[in-house]
Amino acid sequence: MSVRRLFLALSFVAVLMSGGLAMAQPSSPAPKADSDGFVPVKEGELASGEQLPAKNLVAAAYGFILSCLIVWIASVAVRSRKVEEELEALRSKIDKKA
Amino acid sequence: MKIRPLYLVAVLLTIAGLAYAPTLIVDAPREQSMGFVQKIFYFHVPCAWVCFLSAFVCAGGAIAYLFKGSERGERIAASAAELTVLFGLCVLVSGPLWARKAWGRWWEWDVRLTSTLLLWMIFIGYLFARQYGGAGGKRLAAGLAIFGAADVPLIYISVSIWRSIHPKTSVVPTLEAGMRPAFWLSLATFTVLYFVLLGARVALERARAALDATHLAAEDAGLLDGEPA
Repeated sequence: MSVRRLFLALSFVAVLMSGGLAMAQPSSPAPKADSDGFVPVKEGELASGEQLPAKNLVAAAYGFILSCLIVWIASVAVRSRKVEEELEALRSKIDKKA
Repeated sequence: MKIRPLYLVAVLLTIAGLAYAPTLIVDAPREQSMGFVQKIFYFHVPCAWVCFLSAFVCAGGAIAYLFKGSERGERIAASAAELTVLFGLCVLVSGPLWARKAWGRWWEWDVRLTSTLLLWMIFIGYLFARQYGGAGGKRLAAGLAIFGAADVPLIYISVSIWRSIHPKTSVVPTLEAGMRPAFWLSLATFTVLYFVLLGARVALERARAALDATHLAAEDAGLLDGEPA
């Protein structure tokens, strides 16, 4: 069996499995969560003591995502510059020899 | 490098969205049981959406490469795989920060969390296979991408099928009116951001392909005799 056919067969099985799971009904009803949706807080219900650590966690999550994006963009910029420099050097070498 | 006008518009839209979204997120109503930490939802879910989208883009490129031999498909797949890992990491870090406050634990071996971790590891496997897999590495990586994408529907439905403490998929359609603008703006911004980043990464792969092609052409013409590759 060729590699292409093997991939095709395995991919087909994987798609069938994920589709089958998607359609499968649980034999017993799934346990009900406390709430299926978010409930907005009413005015004056906030406990002042709980705000500080939550703010730190939200800031950490937002900061982490921003940092990841900045680092990744910088890495792409560095890699692009390196490739462009290599291409430029190669072209000038070819021009000299040609 | 030439920048297309559409790309420039997308970059400006992303910057505007990233600048305005925090204002809407802060102004959105606080959730009753979780409090302020629920605000992580506004960037945790868009990161997850972009991660899943990227897995499908990668699988699409991988299929084009495997069955049609499309080098462009391979370049798109490789770029999308890197972004799947990037946004997957954002999901896997922002989620536990939310969970620490909401559930009292950083991590739970819940099906949703575990299958997301698995997805992330499959795409790390893709990057390793492509980089270090030798002659057949790209084909092996393409196969991994298809299996990675097959994990995405499983992640999505996991909270409906198995017992889970993770919020269900019904959270988004039933979102309270005051929370919708922040969420949808954030989702749209991350989606545009994804295509901006994908465009930049694909341009890098294109430049690498041009470098390889130039090198091979020069070698064939005997212009690089005795030069190290």
